[in-house]
Amino acid sequence: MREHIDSQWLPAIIVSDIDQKRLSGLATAAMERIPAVAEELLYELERASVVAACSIPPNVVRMGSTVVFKTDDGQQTRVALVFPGEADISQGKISVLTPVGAALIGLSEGQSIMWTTRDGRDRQLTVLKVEPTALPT
Amino acid sequence: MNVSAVSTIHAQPPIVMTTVEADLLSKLLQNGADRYSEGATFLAREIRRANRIDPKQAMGNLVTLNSYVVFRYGPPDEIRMVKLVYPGETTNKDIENLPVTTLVGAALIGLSQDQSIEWSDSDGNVHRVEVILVLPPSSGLLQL
Repeated sequence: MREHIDSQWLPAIIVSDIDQKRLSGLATAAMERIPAVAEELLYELERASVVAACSIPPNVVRMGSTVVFKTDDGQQTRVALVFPGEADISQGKISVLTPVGAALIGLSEGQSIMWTTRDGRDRQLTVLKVEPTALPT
Repeated sequence: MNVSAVSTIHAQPPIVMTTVEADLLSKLLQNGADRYSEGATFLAREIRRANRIDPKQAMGNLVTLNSYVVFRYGPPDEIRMVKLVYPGETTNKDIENLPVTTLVGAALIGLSQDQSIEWSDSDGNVHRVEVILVLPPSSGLLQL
């Protein structure tokens, strides 16, 4: 199990009841094959505030959201957060079952979070803007 | 065959198959060597009762052949992820391939996200699946 960064530095995150159910199932099912990121996603889902899908504030990252974020190396990126199988990096669609995807879910505009890249480096990202979701909930 | 020995479906949710898929699966059962298995019998019944739609109308959250499905299965209460396939496709390293002619495969096909179905097998054991997430047919699901 990877060590989590001291919990006092973790931002409060919000996840809809629907996303919570689907993502928990997905992460549980993926645990054997990709344990590091599945565990990270489950950890985030367990600590998230869970609210009804219709009550999610528009500035919170949910499944299907398009997010503009910057990383601590100054890079600014715009991605849509999608389920694996819908992911396509060339179209800016990033899977929630990736280190960045798991870090993004539930964040609000202005919040920052640390995440660990696959090669083991700790990085920080800050959400600049959340655009409305285009996917049906 | 003894018809009374086949499994019984308890809760029958409405299910959906495309006309193309229903046709393919019917042919599969006509030609299959194991068409009298419990799973094949279950599948035949599901094909008969499915609401048929034009393939263009199929929604992304519908379990079809080659869908990736995350579902709750019990007993025991466990969460599984499979790719629903024709019989004979071997499991690759990325995901377990579940033939549509197995009991669980036949139970899954035609369901949509959040639907569940219950049945008892010929020994009287009750089984239940609940679909949590359906991902569209795609290569490299977990190649991140």
